[in-house]
Amino acid sequence: MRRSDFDVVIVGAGAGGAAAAWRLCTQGLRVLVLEAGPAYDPRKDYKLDTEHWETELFPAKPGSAGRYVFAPMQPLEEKYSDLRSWNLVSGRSNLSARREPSGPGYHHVRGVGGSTLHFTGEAHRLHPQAMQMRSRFGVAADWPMDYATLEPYYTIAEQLIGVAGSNEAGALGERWRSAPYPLPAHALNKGSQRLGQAAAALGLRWSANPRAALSQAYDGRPACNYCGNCNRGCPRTDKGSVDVTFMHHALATGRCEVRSDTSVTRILTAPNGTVREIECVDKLRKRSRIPVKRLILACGAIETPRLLLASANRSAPRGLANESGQVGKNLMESLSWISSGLLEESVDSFKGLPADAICWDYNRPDAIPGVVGGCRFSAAVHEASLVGPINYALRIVPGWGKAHKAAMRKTFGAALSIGAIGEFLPNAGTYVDLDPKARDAHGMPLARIHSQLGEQEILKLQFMAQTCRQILHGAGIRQLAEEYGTYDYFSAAHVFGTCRMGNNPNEAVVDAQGSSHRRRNLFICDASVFPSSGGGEAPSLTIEALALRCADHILGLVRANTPV
Amino acid sequence: MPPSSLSRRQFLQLLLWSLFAMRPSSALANAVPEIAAPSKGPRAAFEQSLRAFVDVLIPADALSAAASAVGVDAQIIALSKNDYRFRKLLSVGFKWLDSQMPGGFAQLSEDAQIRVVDWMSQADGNSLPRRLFEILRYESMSFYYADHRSWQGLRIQRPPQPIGYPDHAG
Repeated sequence: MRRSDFDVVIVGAGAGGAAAAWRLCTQGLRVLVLEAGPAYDPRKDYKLDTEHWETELFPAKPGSAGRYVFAPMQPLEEKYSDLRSWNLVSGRSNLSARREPSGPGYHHVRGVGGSTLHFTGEAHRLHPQAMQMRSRFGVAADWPMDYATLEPYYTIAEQLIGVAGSNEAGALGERWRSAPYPLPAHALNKGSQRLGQAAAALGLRWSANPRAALSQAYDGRPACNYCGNCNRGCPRTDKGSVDVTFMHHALATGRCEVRSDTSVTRILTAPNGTVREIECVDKLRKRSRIPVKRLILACGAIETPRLLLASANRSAPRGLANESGQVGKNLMESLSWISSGLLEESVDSFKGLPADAICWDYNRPDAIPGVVGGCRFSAAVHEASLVGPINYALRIVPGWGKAHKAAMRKTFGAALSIGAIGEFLPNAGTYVDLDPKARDAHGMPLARIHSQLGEQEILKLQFMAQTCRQILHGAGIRQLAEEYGTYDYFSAAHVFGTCRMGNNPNEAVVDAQGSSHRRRNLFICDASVFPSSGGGEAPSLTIEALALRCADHILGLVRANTPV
Repeated sequence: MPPSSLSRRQFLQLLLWSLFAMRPSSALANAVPEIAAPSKGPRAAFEQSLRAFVDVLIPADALSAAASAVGVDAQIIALSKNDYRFRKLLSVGFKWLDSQMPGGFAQLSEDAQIRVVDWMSQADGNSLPRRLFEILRYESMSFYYADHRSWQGLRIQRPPQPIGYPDHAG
């Protein structure tokens, strides 16, 4: 396939890029996907069948971790000391006086499959009311579409992935469906059953969480065997990461080419303002230019604005597609909390599917008293990584010597964790720009992340923490063992909003189809287009639905012979 | 969902930032009886003391072996070869520890070793003894429980795959 023969070039092989590639290829277009990170082989690269399985989370490979810079974050206040992270072994985790990134801070995988390679695999539809935050509450921005517009695309994505979920009305809430889930819900593990009883006693509805993990064999992939380690990479391929779903089927058409380990460093434009070609560096550090007819950016809410800002030129001095000045603005991060404790006896809580159960009762944007924006609660022992003896010993079983060995044997499997994720409202202090000094190996400026928690976020965190503690107490936890939250740490797997979509070109980077308002052959298919974050919903399914819709728009343009 | 455990690198940063501002305490003297020391080279002394220390942290019992029996001390030494800061902490830390008692830590009785480690575990958070204890506990537990021989008596006896836990709900 010659380079100039590609109808569409996609940058980024994560949820958005893979979904768009699949839709375009299966409808007859030829697609080139460029991915900065490596390709993973689930059967060789994931280590869950070795005795060292617990020593790292998702396995790193050369190029799989992006580099970012953080601007100094806000001082921590003593009045919020109940929101500090701590555990029984080490005490308080963040000993500094400021909020800091936790590890890399932005938890992201660069690779064919993107962050779906390490995601838990929750397959959520956005709450319909979470799409109208400005018109209803005067915050964030409205989505330029409603739930009904996205619903058919949610259904397509769920069918391709093989989402397992409950079709009972109580589990669906206000998220109406045109078709049932393709697979039945998973059975809850014993820890989640215990949490469910406690939640019910508090009047909370606890239901099976819709999961991109197969409850039955589907599409040539086996059913999940409940090893509990989705975040370390699924060697069986039953988890619906996009490498084994969308991308697998895109490649099967013969019309898709994926080039891994290839970084795009600049987008170049024609005199008429359209995108003309891209500059990239391959794994041998060879630079080249690739002409493009249509370009989709799907690099995520940090890397997509970075590439646009780094592509500034004489006719676009503030960055490409940044006529609105909104590229990099409106960053929304993950607002999260996890409380963990130990039961008197083991319930083998390390077994089963991560986040197998969820409570949506506070997900609606006006559901939490006194704040705007919702949240959700879910079983979280696996996502807290309390699934093996190393993490027990290092975090929640203090001591040493023979007594410690005995305590390990008594308590292993007794940990219960409940997590909450909440809505983050955009604010002027939270955004992405280019660091003036730091550059990557290719000379490209690094993204610099600025983060500021607003009062609404802190109030929401307090509600989330208090509710988590109440549920654990109801489940029989008498002493908490660890708490971890984003008051004292920047720790985000889900980031949004830095190229927001909207109908007004003065306020939005792309339109409702994902098309740049001013660069008509430039499209964005990732969470950077989200006008609001939602109330704790995992974003991958919505990213995929938006990408499918964007792909259909491109197909329409191609079929109508719309000139590039 | 992000991981909530510290990485080894973060942990080291936390422990080492004030390493050279630390002073040992004379209170240790009360915990340690004097024992005559056999003559040996500094490298051998360090390795003996490290081995003894990790075995105090993780001793053998009826079900599973001590830390050194599964090679924890050797893995700590191997790790230090690639990490200057860790190597420096071990060097300074064990030089201090062995200087506190004639013959060094390894020559103490088991009871005395336990008393020393207990004292170190409760020393001031910014002191060298406490930081040496914390990093050795962290590394020892990490290496020990990554070895299948440590899993005897735990409710996990094999890696999660390839079998998984099909009995998760029952």
